[in-house]
Amino acid sequence: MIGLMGRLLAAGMSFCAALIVNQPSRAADLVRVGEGPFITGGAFFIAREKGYFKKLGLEIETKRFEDGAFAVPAIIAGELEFTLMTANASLFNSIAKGAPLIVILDRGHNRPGFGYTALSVTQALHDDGVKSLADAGKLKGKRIGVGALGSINQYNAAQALLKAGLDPAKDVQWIVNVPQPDLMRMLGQNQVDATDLAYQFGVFAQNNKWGPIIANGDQIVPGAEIATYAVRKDFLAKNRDAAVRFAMAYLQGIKEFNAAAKDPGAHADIVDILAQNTALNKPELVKAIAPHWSYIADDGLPLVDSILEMQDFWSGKYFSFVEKKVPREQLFDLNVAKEAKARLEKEKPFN
Amino acid sequence: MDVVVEQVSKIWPGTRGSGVVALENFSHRFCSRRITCLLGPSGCGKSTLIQIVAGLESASSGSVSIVDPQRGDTRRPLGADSVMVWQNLNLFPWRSVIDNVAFGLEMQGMAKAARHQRARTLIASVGLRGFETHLPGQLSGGMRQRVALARALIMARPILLMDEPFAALDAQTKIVMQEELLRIFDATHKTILFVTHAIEEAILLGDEVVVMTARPGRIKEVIAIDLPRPRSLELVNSRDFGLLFDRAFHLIREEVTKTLAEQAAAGLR
Amino acid sequence: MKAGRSAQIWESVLPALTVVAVALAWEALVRLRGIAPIYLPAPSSVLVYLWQMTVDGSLPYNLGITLLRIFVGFAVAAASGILLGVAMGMSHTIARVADVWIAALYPLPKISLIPLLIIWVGTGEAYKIVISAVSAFFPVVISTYAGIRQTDRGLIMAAKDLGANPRQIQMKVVIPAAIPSIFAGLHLGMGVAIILVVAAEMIGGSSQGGMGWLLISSGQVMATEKVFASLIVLAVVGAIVIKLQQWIDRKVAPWVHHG
Repeated sequence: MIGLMGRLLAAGMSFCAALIVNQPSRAADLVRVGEGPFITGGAFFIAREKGYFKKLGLEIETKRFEDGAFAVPAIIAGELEFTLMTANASLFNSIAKGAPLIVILDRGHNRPGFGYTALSVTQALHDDGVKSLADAGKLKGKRIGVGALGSINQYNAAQALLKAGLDPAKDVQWIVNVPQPDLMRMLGQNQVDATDLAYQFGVFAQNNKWGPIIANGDQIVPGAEIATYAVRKDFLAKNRDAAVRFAMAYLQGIKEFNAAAKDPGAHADIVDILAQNTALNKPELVKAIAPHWSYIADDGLPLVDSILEMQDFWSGKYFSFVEKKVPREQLFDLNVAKEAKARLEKEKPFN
Repeated sequence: MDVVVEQVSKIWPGTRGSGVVALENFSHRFCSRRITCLLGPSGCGKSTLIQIVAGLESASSGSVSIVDPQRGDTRRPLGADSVMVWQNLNLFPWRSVIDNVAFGLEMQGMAKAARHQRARTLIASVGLRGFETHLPGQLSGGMRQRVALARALIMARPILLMDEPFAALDAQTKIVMQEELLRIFDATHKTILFVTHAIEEAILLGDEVVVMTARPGRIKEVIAIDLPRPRSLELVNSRDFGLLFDRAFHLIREEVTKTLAEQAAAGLR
Repeated sequence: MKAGRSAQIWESVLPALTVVAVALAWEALVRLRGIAPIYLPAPSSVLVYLWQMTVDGSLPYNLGITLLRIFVGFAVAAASGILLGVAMGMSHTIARVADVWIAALYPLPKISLIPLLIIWVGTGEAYKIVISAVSAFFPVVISTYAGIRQTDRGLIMAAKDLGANPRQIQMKVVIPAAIPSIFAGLHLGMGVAIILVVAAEMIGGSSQGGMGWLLISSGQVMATEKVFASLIVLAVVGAIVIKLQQWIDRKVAPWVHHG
């Protein structure tokens, strides 16, 4: 009897001791992040799966939006702290109309060699002579499918048309409101003549003989921004330290992401993480499109000039999606990334 | 033309074999050029009988025929000899007064000008001149009643079948319509079968009152009404009228009590 | 009579007054609480955009396209619905066959058919008109058939008594008597047609304009004032269409509202 009691007591005490010892020095910060199924979120997924956020005391709750556009209303409503934010017209309008958000990090851009958007045409058009960017002029009067108005896809396609001397507002018919996978199929059925889609869809269409890629985004506008991370301003004001730590873990994720893009064979673990967390699903697919994963700025800074260029374009003479432009100071807080980089170099938490 | 009803029975099919006997071996000769009133409690089958006479309902057994009292040969009336005036009027709400009245003639294929001319005459004769283009919904209850009458009378059929036509009217209008009917009868001497549950009305209008039993409907008694014609409302106060009323009242009361008891029993079961 | 007259005026003005009151309260709320347009634009700025959209032609153009599509879809649905409903009423065989199909297809949410339709007929006018016609068809045919089946037996007996043959009864009694039901079906069908045309313009890719297109393209770029402006226009159009239908009903079938 006494032996049993003694054993129970000892077990209980060591259990309590374990609880006390494993208590972190302070409670973790809960951070809710809006993400989508695209590979441009790769650095985030890597940092999360490898526990970098946790190591820095951040408890991550991911909310997945199949259509990234819906993440923006969610963060405005206060359901998220961070969110992916594509460099599209709605970014400028949201902030201009008082959305309490600010852009702090890069989340993928079309660095030459790593372009993540692709301009494709139907097989028929290709046979008719539209074989490269130089032939873009032949797209006059044709139907071009892009996911949404003001999207980076529409931006890239429009720039290709401009380079060929066409008026992107008047000389083509834009097909929008269709999800990218469906646009890809429409290409195959000649219900659109050209598309600008995420790279994997262009490859898929090409492999199925629906239509070849005639130009990558990095050939049309080298280095154009694709997406960013935005943070809620009240969260930034209240807990800037947490935002900086987020950026620190994210920066580490960026390092591994970019490295794996250049040599996926040597980074099977990264490839697996990307396969599991994006629409690509299978590691072979992830490898197949490398290095067209987009490139994420090593210093994490959003591409300010590119984004401002886009704002000018959407409020310019061809399209009037944006009426009130947002000044640079209201769009970006570059110090979060800068502080994160400095602290990483000083504290070296991941070495 | 007498209307001869011989051993007419009507059984409404019910569930599980047992049906409802509405009429049981009803036999009567309705004399031509007379008003005969069918008087009875609710559910006694009087409406069913009149619809069988009209040819709109079939008898389960028995027959209805027309006999010429002078010549004795028989024909079957199939509605072409009789015309109905309904309790709830059944006016066509989308047709104007004149198109309602002219309906029967329209069905016969008469040209519009001709049938409208006849309709106008009838409409004037029931006192509705000026309302030809009105819709029934725009008229009062009494006016609608007169449209229904005109629609029936225009058919110029010898037999007029009336199924509690004045039951839904208020007391004042009812009196007016009763006088109207008396006037029409005096002018045309049609054979009228008049169904009612109002004793006073039956005696005032009828040459004969057939008192029916509670369900199943049979003839309880036939009362001859010897009051002189032309009749008018003042008759109601006369002594003879009072005696006839008492007689009818007692007959009816028995049957009404029976009906109520039956309904109560059905309710309790 | 003076008291009655002023009560009448008050009654017809009251709805408009409540709209104005709500608008004023909304404006006050936005201004006093400093609500950013991304959450709730002020009525004053919505009106400015409404004016702009009217002047630059985008509103009249898109509204016109939507109305045209609604009208065509509704006309097709009304004609086919009434025809089939009457046929079902006149022939027991047709009724039994059609009834099965209607019962099976009616409950399907037609919006779910849109991707399928697009695959078959593309994203042009065809699919928008088809989806709105198909959806509006059902309430029309169902109400028409019900109206014919439920004809007041008394009217039929009266017609028979007055010498009408079966064909005359069908044409001169049953069908006119079914008009209130048919109208009810047409009202429902019109509402459905409006909703489905706008939805079809929003879902499924196209740049072919319409109020749905205006809604979604403004929404995509977060032009919140334009979204509100479009919604207000749709609401007003809806109200006008309903009032117009009621007016036409009264002109065509005045007896329906009598005692």
